[in-house]
Amino acid sequence: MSRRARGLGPLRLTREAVKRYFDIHSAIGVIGGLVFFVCSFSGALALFERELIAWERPAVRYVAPSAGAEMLGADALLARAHAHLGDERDLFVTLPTPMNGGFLARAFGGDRGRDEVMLHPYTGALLPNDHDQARAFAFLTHLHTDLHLPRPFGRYLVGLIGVFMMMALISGVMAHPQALRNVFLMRWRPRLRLTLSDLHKQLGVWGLVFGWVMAATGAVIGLLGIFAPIMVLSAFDGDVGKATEAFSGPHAEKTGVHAAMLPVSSLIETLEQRVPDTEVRSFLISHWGDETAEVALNLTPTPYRAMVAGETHRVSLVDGSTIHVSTFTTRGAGTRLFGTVQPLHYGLFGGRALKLVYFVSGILLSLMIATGSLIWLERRRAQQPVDARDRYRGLERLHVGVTVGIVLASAVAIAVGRFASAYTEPAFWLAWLGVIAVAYGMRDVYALMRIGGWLTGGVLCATAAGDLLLSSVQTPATIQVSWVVLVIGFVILGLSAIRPSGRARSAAAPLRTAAASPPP
Amino acid sequence: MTRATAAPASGAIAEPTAPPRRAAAALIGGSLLSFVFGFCVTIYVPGADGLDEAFLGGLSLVVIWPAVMLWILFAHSTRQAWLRALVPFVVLLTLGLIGFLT
Repeated sequence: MSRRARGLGPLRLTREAVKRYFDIHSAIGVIGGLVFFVCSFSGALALFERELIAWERPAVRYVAPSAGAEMLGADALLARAHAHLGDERDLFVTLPTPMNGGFLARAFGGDRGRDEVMLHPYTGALLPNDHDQARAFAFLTHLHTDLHLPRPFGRYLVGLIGVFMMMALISGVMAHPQALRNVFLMRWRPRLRLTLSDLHKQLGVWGLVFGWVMAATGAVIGLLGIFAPIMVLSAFDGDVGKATEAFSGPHAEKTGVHAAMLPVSSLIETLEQRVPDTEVRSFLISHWGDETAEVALNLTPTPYRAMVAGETHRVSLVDGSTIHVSTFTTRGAGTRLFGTVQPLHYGLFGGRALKLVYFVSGILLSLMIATGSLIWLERRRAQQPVDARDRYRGLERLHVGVTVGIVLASAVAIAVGRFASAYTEPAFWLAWLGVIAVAYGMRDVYALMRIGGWLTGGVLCATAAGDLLLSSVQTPATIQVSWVVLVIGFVILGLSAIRPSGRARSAAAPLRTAAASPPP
Repeated sequence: MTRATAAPASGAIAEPTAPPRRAAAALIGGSLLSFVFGFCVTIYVPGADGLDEAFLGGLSLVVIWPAVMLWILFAHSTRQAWLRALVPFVVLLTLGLIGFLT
């Protein structure tokens, strides 16, 4: 039986169907490739937003004042936070960790808006926590979650990008029915396009599951604000209050009747004993001093082994009784599935090693996206008559400029954020736009990849070395981060030093230069 | 068959050929159809409580959305694309409204 009659690949697709999928895959990739890349690359960095607070802001690092010194209890620190912020507003507290900095208390609600303090967990002294200070990783996280557009539109757009990424992945699988057969095929020469094509397919096959999970969970998180009202309409007759109560329990109004408060630390201890292998890392205090006062204790499985998001226990601060438990685990399939979305998207279920795997996978996913667009542009340009190639050459420069630019700009933002945080955002935008401008000015735009790699690696190495040498307060956690950054910097430098073989370069050369392009 | 669809699949890279009108039908019609599908899942699929059904509906609409858009894009004409989008949409909307109102 001929291949035409049998169809292509395991799904036995006709050639026409494969071609159609290929066109759709190309269209989505070419139109959305750059935004996909920005989302994917910034997402890989955003994974570490919370882990790197203390590394980025040396002012909030803390060390024990003397050997054997004990941290103050949560109640003593809470009393100091109340002294600074007042006790009439709700207070969200994040307990200290070497990665996140000191005891962070954030007051909100009422007429005074939001306010926060960070306390030294050993002394209770105020740490110079300037929450308006720009942080590179927070900035990159906002790029990932909202593309720096106003909320909620940026969030919705990112959710839609997730849907289109899923489309690109499905159509990509259908468009490459032989991809599984060539799963180990990697041609480094003779032509650049073949190398890019093989790289794209390899990364697509090996990274398919990761890409799909990221796109699907990202779409759910991004579009939650759009579909939640419709689902609330159908499940709760449009009663948002009823839907909120179904998950987070009943909410009482403040009565103004004073009551004595139980120590929060004893409530935390009781809960951690009752639910084994969990710990409280943050809590929310409402109506402090009132008879309706309560604390919502956020329970996180240790050490991050749960595939379902943690639960929240609302406990009365007056008598210690449990008011409500918000959990994803004891309900039906829908709630359990929804509870897996965040751990899957943020890599929260396997500790720091898993986060590093997520980071590498995110970078490879970005590489797959970038190579896909470049294959199409390079091929299209080569197919055009000489006088019509400028259009594609310009697009090619834009793609290389944007992709290399965001990598270098992120490294610059991390460096500037670490040593001169007020200039983080302008430094990022200037670096990015600068690289795009350089891409348009360069004769051989592909050389920009190597130059960008050198600069990125160099900036990261210098930043890590600078932190190790210049910071007056070092903790084991920050030293560890600096070494990881240093290693990443050296890896990038090493990869940038790899040069294609002579044969590949000579074959690729006509693709790179305008003057050398042969007539069709 | 267009010039692009007639070309062999092996390695040939052509201009994206999905006509804008068909793409619009996929985007608009696919979105409407997916949302009404999620609405129907919330109404008809049994769950532990209202919240469970709502989550299930939301997740199902996101998962089905790209597949629905691809299915509409695969139509042979713009007219067929709109038919693929709107006929199931009307059917599901009717079913959903019947379930919601009863």
